[in-house]
Amino acid sequence: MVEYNAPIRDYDFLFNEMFDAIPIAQKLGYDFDTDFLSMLTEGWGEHAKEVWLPINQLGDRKGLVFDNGSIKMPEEFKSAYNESIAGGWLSTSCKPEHGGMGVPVFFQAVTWAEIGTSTNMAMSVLPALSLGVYDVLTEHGEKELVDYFATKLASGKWAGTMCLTEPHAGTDLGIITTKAVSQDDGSYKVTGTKIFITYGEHDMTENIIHLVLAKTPGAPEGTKGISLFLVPKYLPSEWKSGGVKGLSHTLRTDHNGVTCSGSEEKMGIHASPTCVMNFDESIGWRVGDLHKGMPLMFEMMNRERLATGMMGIGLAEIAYQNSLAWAKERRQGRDLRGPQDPNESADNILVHPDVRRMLLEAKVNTEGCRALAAWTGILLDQMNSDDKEEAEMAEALVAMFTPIVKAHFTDLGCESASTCMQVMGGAGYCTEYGVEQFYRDVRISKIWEGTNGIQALDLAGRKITQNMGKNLRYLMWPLTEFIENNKDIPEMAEFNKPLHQGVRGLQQLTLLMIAEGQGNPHFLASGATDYCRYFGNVLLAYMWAKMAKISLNKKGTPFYDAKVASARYFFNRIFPETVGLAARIQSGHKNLMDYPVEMM
Amino acid sequence: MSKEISQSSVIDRVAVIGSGVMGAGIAAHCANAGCEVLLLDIVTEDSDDRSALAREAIQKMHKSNPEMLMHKRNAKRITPGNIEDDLKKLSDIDWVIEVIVENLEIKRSLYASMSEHIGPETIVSSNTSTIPRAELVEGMTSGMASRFFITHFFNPPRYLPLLEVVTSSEVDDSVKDRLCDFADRSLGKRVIMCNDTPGFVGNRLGVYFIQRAFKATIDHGLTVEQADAMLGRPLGIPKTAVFGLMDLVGIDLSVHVIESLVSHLPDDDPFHDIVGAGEDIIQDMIADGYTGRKSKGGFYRLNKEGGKRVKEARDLSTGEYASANRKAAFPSAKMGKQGLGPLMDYPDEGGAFVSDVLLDTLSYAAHLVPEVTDDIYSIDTAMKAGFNWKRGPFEMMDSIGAASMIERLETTGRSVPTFLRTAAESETEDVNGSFYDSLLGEINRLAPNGSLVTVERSESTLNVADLKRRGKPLKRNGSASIWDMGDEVLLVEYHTKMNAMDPMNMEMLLNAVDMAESEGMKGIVIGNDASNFCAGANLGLALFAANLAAWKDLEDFIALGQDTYQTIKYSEIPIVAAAAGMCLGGGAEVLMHCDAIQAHSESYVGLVEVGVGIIPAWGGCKELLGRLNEFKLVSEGPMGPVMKAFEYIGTAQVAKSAEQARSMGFLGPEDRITMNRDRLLADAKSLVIELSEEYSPPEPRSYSLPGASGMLALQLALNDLVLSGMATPHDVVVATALAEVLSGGDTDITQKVDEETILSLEKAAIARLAQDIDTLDRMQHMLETGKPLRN
Repeated sequence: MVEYNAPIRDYDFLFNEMFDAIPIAQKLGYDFDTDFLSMLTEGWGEHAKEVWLPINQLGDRKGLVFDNGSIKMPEEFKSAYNESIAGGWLSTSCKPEHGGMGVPVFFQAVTWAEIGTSTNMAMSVLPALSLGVYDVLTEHGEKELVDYFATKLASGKWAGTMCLTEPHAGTDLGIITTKAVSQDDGSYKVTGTKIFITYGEHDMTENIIHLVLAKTPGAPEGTKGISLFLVPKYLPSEWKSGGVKGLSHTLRTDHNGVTCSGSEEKMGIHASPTCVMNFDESIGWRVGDLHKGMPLMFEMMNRERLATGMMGIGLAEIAYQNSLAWAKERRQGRDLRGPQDPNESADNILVHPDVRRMLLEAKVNTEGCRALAAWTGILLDQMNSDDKEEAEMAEALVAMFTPIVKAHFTDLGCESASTCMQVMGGAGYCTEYGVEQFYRDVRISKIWEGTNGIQALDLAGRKITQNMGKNLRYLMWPLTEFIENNKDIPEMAEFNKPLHQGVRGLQQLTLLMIAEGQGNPHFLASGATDYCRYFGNVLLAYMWAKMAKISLNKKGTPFYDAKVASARYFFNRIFPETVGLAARIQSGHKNLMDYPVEMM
Repeated sequence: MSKEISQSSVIDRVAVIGSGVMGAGIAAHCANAGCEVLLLDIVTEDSDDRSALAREAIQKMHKSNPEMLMHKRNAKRITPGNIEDDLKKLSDIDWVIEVIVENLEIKRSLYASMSEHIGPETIVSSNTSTIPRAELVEGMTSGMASRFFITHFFNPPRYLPLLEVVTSSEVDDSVKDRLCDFADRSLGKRVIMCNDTPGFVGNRLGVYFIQRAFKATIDHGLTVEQADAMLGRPLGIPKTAVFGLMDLVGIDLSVHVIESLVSHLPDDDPFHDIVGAGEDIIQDMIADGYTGRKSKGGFYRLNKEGGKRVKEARDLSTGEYASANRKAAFPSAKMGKQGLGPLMDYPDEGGAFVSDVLLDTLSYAAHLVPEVTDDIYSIDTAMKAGFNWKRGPFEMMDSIGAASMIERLETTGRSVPTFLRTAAESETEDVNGSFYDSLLGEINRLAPNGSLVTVERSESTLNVADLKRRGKPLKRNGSASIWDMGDEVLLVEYHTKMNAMDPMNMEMLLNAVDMAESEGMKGIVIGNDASNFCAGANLGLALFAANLAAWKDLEDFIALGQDTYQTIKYSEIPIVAAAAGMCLGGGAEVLMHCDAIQAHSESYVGLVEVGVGIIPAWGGCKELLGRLNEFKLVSEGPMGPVMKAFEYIGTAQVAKSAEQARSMGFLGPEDRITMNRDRLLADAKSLVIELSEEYSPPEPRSYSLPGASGMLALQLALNDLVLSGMATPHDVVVATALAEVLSGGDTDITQKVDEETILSLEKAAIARLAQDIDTLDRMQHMLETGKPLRN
């Protein structure tokens, strides 16, 4: 039996004690308060535990059935999904006018995402994609399109996908060949093949809305010639060829030239379809300006990248909870200082330092990431602020944090899931306990939405250098001020000193990457992954120092004492890896690029 | 020195006949060189002033852009006149340069009327670009003909260092040497000798290139932006490349040059194959008044509608203008960094286009040998000095490889010039044959007969490239190198982008001082071959450090700069800066800390820090204050230097020549100016040796500064600027910080302030400004757009 309890207390701490989420949301105009937030968190935690978690293993084993172009999901998934949309749980961030709850983005992007992926990652991807489509559509679509599609997407009755990858074009989207030909009535006919389309086909919803990247005839080469199209699987029944205005939502039964020709067999997330999609003169409408499809798709992709980072946290959290529960029951060997439970045949394994090391590694990494996620979530809301300075700050930080959240959280998530399996020994490897599924499920998060290698290049080659490093200012100025302010607090010294060292290191490494990288892109690219991890470590160190500072003031309560102990673990056992990372970055590119390629 | 020129044969009186743009430019430049100049033109009937044309030409010199005069006072050396009343004055003129209309008959008649007036030693030359010398001297007295040359200047004469000279067997070599030596040393020209053939070297090849590119642009269906983007930067040619250059030269003029050139060329010349392409386009443009930058535009135009300046480009097929595409280059353009071969091989339209233009142009260059000259070094020099190409055609062919060139020509069905085959079979260092070889550290060029000839250059020319050919640097890091210049003199060469100052080139400066002092050497030259001596500090690195809140690194950088510059000033050996091009900010500060400056005449010096929201903090405030006082450039009393320095630094004034820099105090009365860039490092080295004979470090200055009362005066001046709307809010912040430094802080005129105190004030002020967001916005804007932000 898989165990799970949503980290409600931790979210309460993060949003209410560490970040002023409620006042910020209220200032942004949300009708929102602390009670509402805790009601949502508890409610969603309960719902996911009751409705999603019980079918997670079933989904893994039963998977989905591909049959003659259609995909049948397990019946249990369909009813669970319907229960969730009936409860409004899949559209919290959608606007009330479209039937959503209209609560701040941070709840959906952080709390909802973590709990959803913990309890059922395969299921959680579907609403996450639908919301991504909803956001791009409502932000950039023409009113007619929004009026027709937004409510359907928000209700969860229709689902969404993003169609980017083609058989020959993955990371390099500039070379896609899917075509879109404009029609007299303003619509387009879209033709081409897309692969790796998550939930490209399924029977969970009445209709599926695909956001497709395609090129119009004569468009410029590369990514500058890509436009974005909204292509539904089914068209409304009264469809003639004109616009969508005034049409009822009754659907035609024949598809709109949109077919699925296969679904991939995968390592994990067996209940999440990964489809090959064919578009054959499928009618669709352009979203956003001609040739400006990439920035829009990136908007959606950035949200999905943050969501993917949350998968790292979600899977690590549930793996941790289950291996801890198992460990608490497991007796093996004796405390090296002498037996703790002489009456038993062996001591509980938590007496062993190495078992504690493994469990704490998972716990501390997960909690650190959660804190950074909470901050990032609030920044997502602040990006929409009318206060120009606040919006600019939030945009800069989100731009910079996105690759780190995506890459570092999923790296740590995979490491934690693996470590948690390790705690359990042979039992961890057996399907009965569920932890091996988390390990398999979480592995995709390092790959999709841009591999972690691409994230690192995005950070080092773009996010750091854009605006001549101005993004950095919004982090480094307050961060160094925080360090400065802690200098006279003796209790903070054990956290503040290593943080200061790490920040000095980040400053030096960034200057090195920029100075060397200007004339030598290989230097920058060779150090990017380690730089991204270094940066991630510094951000987590900042989070841990902040958490420690708050908790030191509330000493004597187990929750806060544990936070201080976690911070201690972080600065002593995790953060020192930055020394090695720095050495690797400084070693440059020659040890890679001078290696004789014919001997590889 | 290869040849000593006797005192009596020095040229210091010049007459220029013809006061059009070219004539005026040549006259101004001769005045820049220190000559007395007589500028003559025809008499205009409708004016009382019979020399009105020449007089007006001199007045216009003050308004010319780019400036013809290096200093406005140089205009006083030019005397206006006319060819009816003033030819008699030619008797004591050393050199008469004819720059009149390109009409053989009119020129001949002018020569005839001059002949009775010129002195027995007077050299006469024509600046014609199209008429052969042989035709010009027909009917000329043998005396004049024996001292007659073609001297072909490039426009603008002050700035383009190429001078093509055509002589003849009837002219004695000593006369030629007298002229060439003057052109080289005093006018700063890179002189090349050409045969008496149409268009000489520069126009023959340069115009061929443009016409070939024009044809290829049409053949490949490219836009003008695409053509310029592919042929500019990727080939090491100014970004104006083809269409931008035609706009600059004047489209009507290019037509005239091509017509005249082609009419004189032999029938089998490859130029005939490409003539005519784009003729209709050009005719339409001229008819519409689009003759280039001098008119409403050409292939490009600036659309100023709506208050914005939008650069637009002409569509070659429709003749319509649309906003110019700034990113027109094909992916192949990036291959230029890996070499011309990979660029031409790249499978896109850009690669194919470049290949067509380059193969024919390079092949044409090889075809010109030996008809135009047998000296390929001269051809390369012509393209570099006259057209600002980074490499000449033969250097380009060597980079491609002679064998590879032949293969490319053959596989595309082109004929292979004989001389290229000679190169492929040559016994140079390159086993596949080449046009040059650097055996024994000299430049050896391939002669038409296949032998290698060492290029003869004056011993008093020296470039870092020569040092590179002869050996390795004594020490080197990513930003600078230390070279042995010979005779116990070291050279510190920066090689950062724009030769900006960073901690690494400072480290090399300190290393060089250590080395020179500990090994008892004579001294150090700081200089390089680049177009700019040093454009300031590495602003990008500083901005990143500020954005990273790496205040300690920034402080260290400021302190390191101050220490380095003070070390330069007080070292036990003389240090000479070889200034050239931009010497701005941190670059200007280096100059002022050296014992002496040997400046190229084209040195642009200024403390421009306020443009990016900071103030000079590597001793720039300190040195300028001291120098203004010491060189007596301001009135006596403590406020004089303070007010002047406040004006120069506060408004980021830049001297637009070495002479102007001297008037502003950046150069001192003892500092020297070299007209020829190739002689700069050698002159700087001689100056080090001269100074080393009795050298002792300077005494530290002590200053009398006004303190609070001076601060008040500066603030009043600043208030006036604010009231007149000339100072922005952040200007006030920066200028106030500057005023605090210049007035000396907490002092008054009765006290003495030492150098260290001013340095500390500089340091404190810049540390404060670097944490000001408005300053960082200025830096970011400058780095991203190249223009100052007025916030």
